[in-house]
Amino acid sequence: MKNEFIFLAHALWIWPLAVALMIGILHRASESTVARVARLGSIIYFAVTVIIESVWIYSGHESVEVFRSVPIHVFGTSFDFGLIFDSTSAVFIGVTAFCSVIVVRFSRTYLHREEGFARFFFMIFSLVAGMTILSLANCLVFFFVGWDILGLSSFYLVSFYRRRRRSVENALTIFAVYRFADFGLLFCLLLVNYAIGNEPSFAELMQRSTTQGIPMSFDLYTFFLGIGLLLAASAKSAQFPFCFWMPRAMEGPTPSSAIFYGALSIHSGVLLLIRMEPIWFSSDVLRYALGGIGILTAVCASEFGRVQSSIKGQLAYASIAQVGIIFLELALGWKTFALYHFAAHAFFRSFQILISPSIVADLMDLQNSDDNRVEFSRWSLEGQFGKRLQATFYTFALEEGYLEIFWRSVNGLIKRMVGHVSEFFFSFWGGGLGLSIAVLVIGGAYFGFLSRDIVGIVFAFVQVLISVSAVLDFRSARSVFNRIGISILIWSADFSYLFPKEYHLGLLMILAVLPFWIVFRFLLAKFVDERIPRFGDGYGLFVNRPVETWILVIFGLAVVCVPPGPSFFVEDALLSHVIAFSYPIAILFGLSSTFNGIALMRLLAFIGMGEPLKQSES
Amino acid sequence: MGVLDIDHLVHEVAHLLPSQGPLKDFIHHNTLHAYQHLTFFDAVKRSSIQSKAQCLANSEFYESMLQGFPNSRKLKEYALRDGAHNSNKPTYYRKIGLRRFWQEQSSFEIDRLVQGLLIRIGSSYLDQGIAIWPFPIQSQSLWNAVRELVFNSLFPLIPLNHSTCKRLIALNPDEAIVELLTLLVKDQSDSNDYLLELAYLLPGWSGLIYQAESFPEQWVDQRHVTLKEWLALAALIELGSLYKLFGNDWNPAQRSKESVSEVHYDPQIVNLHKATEWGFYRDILQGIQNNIQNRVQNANPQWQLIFCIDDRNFSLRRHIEAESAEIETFGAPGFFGIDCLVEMRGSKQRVKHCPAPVKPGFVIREVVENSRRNWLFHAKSGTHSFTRGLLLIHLLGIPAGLRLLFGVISPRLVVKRRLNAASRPSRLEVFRRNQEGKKDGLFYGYTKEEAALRVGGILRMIGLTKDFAPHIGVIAHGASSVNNPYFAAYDCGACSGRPGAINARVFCKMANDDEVRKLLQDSGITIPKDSKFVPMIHDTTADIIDVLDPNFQNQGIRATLDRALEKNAKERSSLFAFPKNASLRQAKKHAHYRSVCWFEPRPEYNHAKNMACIVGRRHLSKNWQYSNGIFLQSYDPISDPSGDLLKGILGAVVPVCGGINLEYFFSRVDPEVYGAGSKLPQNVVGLYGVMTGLASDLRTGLPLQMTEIHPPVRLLIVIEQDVQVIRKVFEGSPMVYEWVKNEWVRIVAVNPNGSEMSLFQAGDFVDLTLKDLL
Repeated sequence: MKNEFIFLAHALWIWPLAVALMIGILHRASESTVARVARLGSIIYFAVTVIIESVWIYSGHESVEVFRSVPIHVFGTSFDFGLIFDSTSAVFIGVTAFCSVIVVRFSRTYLHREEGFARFFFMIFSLVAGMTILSLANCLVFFFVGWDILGLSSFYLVSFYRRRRRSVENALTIFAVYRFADFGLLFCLLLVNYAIGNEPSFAELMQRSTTQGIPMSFDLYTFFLGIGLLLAASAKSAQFPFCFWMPRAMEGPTPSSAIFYGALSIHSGVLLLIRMEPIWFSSDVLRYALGGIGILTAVCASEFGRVQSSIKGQLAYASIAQVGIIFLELALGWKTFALYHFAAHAFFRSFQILISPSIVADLMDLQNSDDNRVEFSRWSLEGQFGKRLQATFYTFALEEGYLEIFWRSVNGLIKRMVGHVSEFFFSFWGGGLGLSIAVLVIGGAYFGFLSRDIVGIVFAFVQVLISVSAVLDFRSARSVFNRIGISILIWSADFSYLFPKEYHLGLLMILAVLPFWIVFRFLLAKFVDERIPRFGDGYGLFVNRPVETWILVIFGLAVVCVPPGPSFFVEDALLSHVIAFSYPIAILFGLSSTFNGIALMRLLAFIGMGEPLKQSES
Repeated sequence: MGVLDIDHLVHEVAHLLPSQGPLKDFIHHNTLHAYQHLTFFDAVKRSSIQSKAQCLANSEFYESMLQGFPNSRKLKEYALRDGAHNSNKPTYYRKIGLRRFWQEQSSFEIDRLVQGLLIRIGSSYLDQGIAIWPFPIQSQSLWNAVRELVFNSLFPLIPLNHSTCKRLIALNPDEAIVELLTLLVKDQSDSNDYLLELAYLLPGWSGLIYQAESFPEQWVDQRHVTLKEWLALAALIELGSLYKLFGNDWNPAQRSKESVSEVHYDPQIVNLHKATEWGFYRDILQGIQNNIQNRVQNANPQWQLIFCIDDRNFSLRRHIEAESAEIETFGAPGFFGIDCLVEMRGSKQRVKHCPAPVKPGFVIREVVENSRRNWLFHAKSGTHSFTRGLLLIHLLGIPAGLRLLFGVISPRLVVKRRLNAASRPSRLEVFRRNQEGKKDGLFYGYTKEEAALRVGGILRMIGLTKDFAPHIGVIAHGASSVNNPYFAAYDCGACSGRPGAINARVFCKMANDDEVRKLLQDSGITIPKDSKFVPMIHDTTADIIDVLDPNFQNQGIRATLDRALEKNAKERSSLFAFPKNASLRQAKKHAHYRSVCWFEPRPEYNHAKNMACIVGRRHLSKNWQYSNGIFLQSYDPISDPSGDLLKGILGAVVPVCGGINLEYFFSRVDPEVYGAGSKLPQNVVGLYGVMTGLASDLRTGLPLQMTEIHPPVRLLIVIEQDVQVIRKVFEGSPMVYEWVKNEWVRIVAVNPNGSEMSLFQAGDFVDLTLKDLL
């Protein structure tokens, strides 16, 4: 019994990946073949879910079943791909299966004859796989894998119409936000490991919190853990102050918006919070902060939604508001209720987004009917305010709380500050100055004038500067990628300097990155010339050379430490040493990795997407 | 600096904008109406320069089409001789934009800033019911509303919070726009170009604003907005954005040294296009000629069915006539001469039920007994708000999931056909009560004399003035589709994009009225006492005909119609990926399925593949198996030697059918610029339009999913009348002649007493011998 259960549970996350892979292989096949594979894939997924859930309910749904597989040890850090199946997984898997089987049926007809039919289903199944891993993972590292698969498939679904400038730009914005969510999650992971010991599973955390309790007090540790957790959850679930990204994600075909932003992806922050509940729930500060974010989001987002005059914008904000309430429920400790709320909301919202084009016919029929409630619905609470107050609130809502403007000016600020500094160091004189400072610092450290952590911080800071400059650099595609490489090189050097005994980890980092870096660089040199990469340059590699571009994507992601690339696990091992030593250095390392990811996606978007240049036009 | 004539400049800009009104009444029109005074090919090129669009389909497309026709060499030869006066200039010039001056410095950031706020303000201001909190200052004009917002709000409306912007918005738009132009443009002679560029930053939105200014009656919730204000606002936002991006350190726009760039056209493309058109025309003309030679007479019809002129009825009429020789069919514009607005008792809206150019003078009141409130809808939209959403989602979440599941598994069981609403039982107040005067310039109902005039007009137009059958069916049409913002484009174009059920019912009620019949008799049309007019509605998507008369009982015609509808559904299903060997019943079921399927972006193919319009007697096209769409207008040339009837017919047929044809033509030629792109990522805004994604330009034209199978071919109008009479009609109606002279539609005349044909070419009729083409 138990073995079959384990087998089924593993099949549940491997199956959608296999289907996605299959569709990837079949991308040149006819539409009906792809549709057939997708249909079979989704129905089998649904059936397996039904079986596994019935077995689980039948065998006493109270219990938390844990399957621990053998941990893999990598240089002192262990990774565990065990699965957990409790009420949370059951609800999340159930909703995922339900929504995905509907969306696949819906899209098979809806996307008929659309360019990128196979690509769409590839992404949908990747998303389902990511969501399944997220729901079943028993530890944060595996959770992280699902988290990133979700982020990437989201990026490619938002930029599904890759010839349109605006959808690619919005996708990039969303990816940047997701990347910061990754950063937050990475810190949670490291800090939890650091506090509790070696890679605790979620089930273990739960047990600890019930038996001996996890002591939490307001100190630096809680502060960083809380920041990481809240950053991860609220960025991924579009909570305050990240509300702005979700309406902008409505660029893909309607069913993808429905499954992503109505049903699944938007709730991944909720799942993270449920899983980490034993950690944060005992801290009053974190609970208040979480509840505060939830209620602030719910109020703001519903206000922004109320003035939206487009149906998808309104639905997006309505979703965010509901997720805010779910956050509040979690902070109050109503976990079961939050789970129910999640399921009801996911069903409802995906339905509404799927039939959002109906709104014209529905409302028009209503306005032409004798239903006098139409008059009533144009009544609004805010309309009763005074003139000044109305104008004030309306402006605030119309500007969507200035959140986008705020993040854009932060972006601009970084651009101005870091951009000038880093450009200076890349110039001839600046390079010389930089080198001499480096010599001084190293010398100072060697002769014992400077302490080790100061030297570490200086180099980590340089590394972040280089990563940021890779984001900002528009000289050429190659130079962007070179900078990513240099930043990783400095990283491993700095690490080896800080931990001479662990120098092999630093070397391992280079080893884990180098092969991918070389291949990527080779392909880049082959396809991309020296022009400034910008959107709509006419490279359009995805159209002209799809296979090579996907290789570029996969190899590039492996370079910038995105799981499941090997460098992610090395990064994890590396940072778990650093975090025990110094928070600032760990944060700088993490930031550098975040910016590397953004730089890479930007580069890939600019060379891969956009209209390929036609020969006939000059 | 001379004084700028702003009104004149704005007027010139307005002329070039797309002219699509709110979605609810979808009126097909010539996409390039601004260039209609030019010859077709010249206009196509000029417009493609202005809007950066593709001018015709590419040569590979034409070559592959031509390969499908036998003897395509002849077609190419003929195309060279046809339409000699079209200029074949290969090189045109495009002015390089003024705004580029800033765009280049800011890596297009400025466009994003200006567009972002313009869309947000414009869409909220015009909103017709999506926003839960509507725009707070609706009663004022756009400019004044924004002014109030800026001055009353404690939060800044970025980038209008700059002091210069605040100073300017306090002025009136006329003063402000003059000052803005002096600030923004260095050389005042460029003002015109600058305003045009500003309008073309968001052509769809600017066009809609102009529509709202020109035709406020199209809007349920009317707004006072002018294009001038819109352009002033755009310029103001541009000014604010410039301050925001560059600080105080920016210069007014000026032209760079090279002010024009050359645009080259392949001179071959026009000929290829014409050759392809002639491939289709050849088939059509040949079919007509064969039909005239094999003319069959049928006598003593038991039923006479009056259909809409719509091309979708072409195949259905053939199937019905093939089913029973006792049925005679006619084609007339689908509003059946009833120029009315429809008002539901209790509702304040009046809905137009006649063609776009017709100005209705009458209101028909509809009274629905025991109407129900749509509670489900109220509940659904309630979830968008905070408090109600909190409650309703918990209550309705799981049921909604189940409804979605069943709706996806079996749409036919879960989703209702939209046209059910059109055929619901209701009472119509057709005739005016005594001495009831005008309200808002409109009469409620018709007098008997007015009714007789309308009924007689239609009957004379289609040549049905004697030999009435015992039953005369008046068949309106509409299309059921769900999850489709373009639903109005699928309905009857002659009813301004609505199912014509009410028009058919009004017509029948008038024609069945004894007093009206007496008046008709006085004017020469005697309708026998036992002849009865029966209103019906044809759902073109589901292929279902509902009889709208609850007292009607005649099983015979029902069975005939159902069989014909099944065959029609089967014929149509060949356009979809539907198995060829499926049974008739399956095809019919499939058609129904499409009409209620949430996830079917192509409920039907609508007017796609429309090619020709036949104005003449039925024998020109009866029994003719032809797979493309043909508009059929019944017309008896013998009874109209003066051409008066023809003048009326062409006055409607040419702009309406020509408009449909050209809208499909251009949406197919460039789906992104002239068309609305793919339907799938579209986002309904304010109930009046669609955008792609959260915020984009308003998409005008038709989406890809409607036009993808349409070959871009100009409409061929075949008129069965003597050349002299047609010429006289052209002389008498300059509007029609503009279309014809510039070859936006092609005209072929067929001699009513023989089968000789003449083509209207370069201003005159020339003999057309089909042998030249074979």
